[in-house]
This record gives sequence, C-alpha cells and structure tokens, in this order.
Amino acid sequence: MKLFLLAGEASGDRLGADLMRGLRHLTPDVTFRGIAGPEMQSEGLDSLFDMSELSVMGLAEVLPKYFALKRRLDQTVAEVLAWKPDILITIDSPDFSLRVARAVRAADPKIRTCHYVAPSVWAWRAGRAKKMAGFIDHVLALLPFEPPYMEAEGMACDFVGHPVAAQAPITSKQIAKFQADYALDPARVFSDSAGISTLRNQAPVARVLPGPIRAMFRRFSADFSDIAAFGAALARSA
Amino acid sequence: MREALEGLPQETLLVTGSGLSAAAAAEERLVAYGAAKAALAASGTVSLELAAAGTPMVIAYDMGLISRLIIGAMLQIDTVTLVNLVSETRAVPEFVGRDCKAAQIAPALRQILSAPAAQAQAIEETMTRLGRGDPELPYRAARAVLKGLQ
Repeated sequence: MKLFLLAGEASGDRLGADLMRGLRHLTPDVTFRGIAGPEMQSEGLDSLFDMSELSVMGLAEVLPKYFALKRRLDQTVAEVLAWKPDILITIDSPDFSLRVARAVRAADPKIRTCHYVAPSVWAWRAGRAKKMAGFIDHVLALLPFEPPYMEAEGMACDFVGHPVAAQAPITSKQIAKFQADYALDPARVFSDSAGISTLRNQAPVARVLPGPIRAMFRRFSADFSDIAAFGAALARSA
Repeated sequence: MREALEGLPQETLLVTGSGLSAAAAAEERLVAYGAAKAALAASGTVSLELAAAGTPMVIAYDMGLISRLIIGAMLQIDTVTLVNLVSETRAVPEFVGRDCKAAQIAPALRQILSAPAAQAQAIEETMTRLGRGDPELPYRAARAVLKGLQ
C-alpha cells in the first residue's frame, strides 16, 4: 500500500510520525513518500524537500516566497500524480496542503484524499468545511465534537484521539526534581492549605503563561498598564 | 519579561528552558505545569496541556481593537477554551478582550487557588474524552485510514 503524507509544521510532523508507526503496526505492507520534518524522516520517510520550507506564516513572510512556494506546490502535486499512491494524507497546514489535495483531486480523482486535523469550523469560518468537501474524502479529527461538522458536508470523519491524551502523566518524582532544581520548598508550596500566605510570601504557585510569548506578553503588559498592577491586584484580593 | 516580573510583589520564577534541548525544555514546561497549583494562561490551546497536567486554570488575553472587533464578529462560540468545549462545561473562567483586566482576573485566580478541586471533574472528563487511558489510542488514526481505504 502506498501512502503519500504531507506535513508542514512540527505538530503535524509529530502526528505524521505517530500515524506511520500505527500503520506499520497494523499492516506490514506500507510504503511512504511525502513532505516531512525530522520526526517522520526518522520513521523512514524520505522527504521530497524539507517541510521547513513550508513553515511560513503571515502575508509578510509568504509574499516574498510566493514563487518558491508555488513551485513547491506544483512539484508536490506532480510527484503525487506520478507515484499514484492509494491515498494522499495531508496533515494540518491547510494553506499549502489543501491546495495540493484540490489539485490532485482535479487531475486524478482515483487517488483517495484524507486530511488530518479538522479545521475549527465550529469556532469560525464555517464555510471551510463545504469548500474542503469538494476534494477531501475523509477527515481525521482531534476533538470529539468535530465529526458532525465534517459529515454534514458529506465527508467521512473519525475522531482519532488527541496527542495530549497520549502524554505520560507527570510523576511526583519529576515534580520533586523540578522543585529541587529551582529550590522551591514543597512543604510551603504544596501542603499549605491556606494557600494565600504561600502565594504572597514565598513561591511561584501561580504561573503566568503568555501564549506566543513575546507578543502576548507585551499585550498583557500593555493592558494591565503594568504587570505589577496584576500582581498587586492578586495580592490585594487575598 | 524578566524585568516586568521583577515589579511583582510576589516572588516569581521564570522557566525559560534555556540551555536545554528542545525535548528537555518541552518536558520541563509540562513538569512546571504539574508543579503549579494553578495557572493563568494566555491562550485556549495551552488549556489542554494544563489539563493533561491536572492543573486548574484561568484563561485571559486581549488583542488589538481591530482584531477584537473582527474576531468577535466572526466567532461562533462563547468560549475559546478547549477544556470548556470538550467537557461541555464552562468550568474554566475566561477573560478575553475587554474583560481582560487584572481586577477581574485576580479574584477568579484566587478562587481556583482556594478551591483547586472545582475544575477537577471537567479536567478529568476532558482528558477521558480526548482518549487518555485508551490502549487503542496510538492506533486510532491508522485504523481510521485503513478502514477508509477498504
């Protein structure tokens, strides 16, 4: 069985590598080709070019690379059509990967198309599902409530579990080592049922986790006018 | 960031993962989530990693005015926190856009610090629904692909 896999970002590369392992476990007769990052490559996929070429975001980054990206798109489509896989599995990175799937479907409708990671049409831009349905046969969803949105447009869709659920739980040993490394006092941090004195005097029990760190943090700071205002509010409300 | 944290009345710890390999830094991040009593996080996506660590959380972030208006108009859901969506609860308090104010966030954070178990059920439900404990989890995607090919 021939599978063409296409990933464009680190998260997709991880999903792809897990999928390759799963497929090999279930059926010995699988051959992979495609576009991959280090994880899938170490599973034995010989990437057409490195997926990092596709990891561009935003107009400012995409525009100067437009012709390079277009060449990679045409090259990928040509490769799929020449190899004639049983299935093309595009993993996330919809801007690139769905263009490949659309072109492949138009040129050779016999090649099955599967897209891994459903677009979040339940949050916004619901029209994406209908557009995809024109050239995607099957969707693999990471969230349990997503299949109905895809099925409503006529695609098959399976919820396949989320990678976060496969993570080994953090052990108390790991936590103890972390505390020792950073010289936290577990007695104070973790068994103070009052909690508050701990928070105010001692230890970092509340973590501030800015998302995409710098930009978000600036935003945080700007909005709180000063991050100190937040700390003060937290302390005051004790 | 470091400078901003120095202004806080609380003692703080900044975990940056510097000097570690990418894998070790990622692991340290997850362990830090596990070691925290509670988290204030700035995106709906990180909520799943916090849930995996069993850490109760408050979500808060703001965006520019233009994004606020555009995204607000396009959004079809009342919460952007995946824990809330997957568990079909609104257990995780969320302060987005104009609600992203210290005076509002701090009491919510204080509340989860004093009653950390309040989110436990929603967090547990989320992880179960996402597949934790399912021995078939590593093969589900592969099985779906093969089933589709038959």
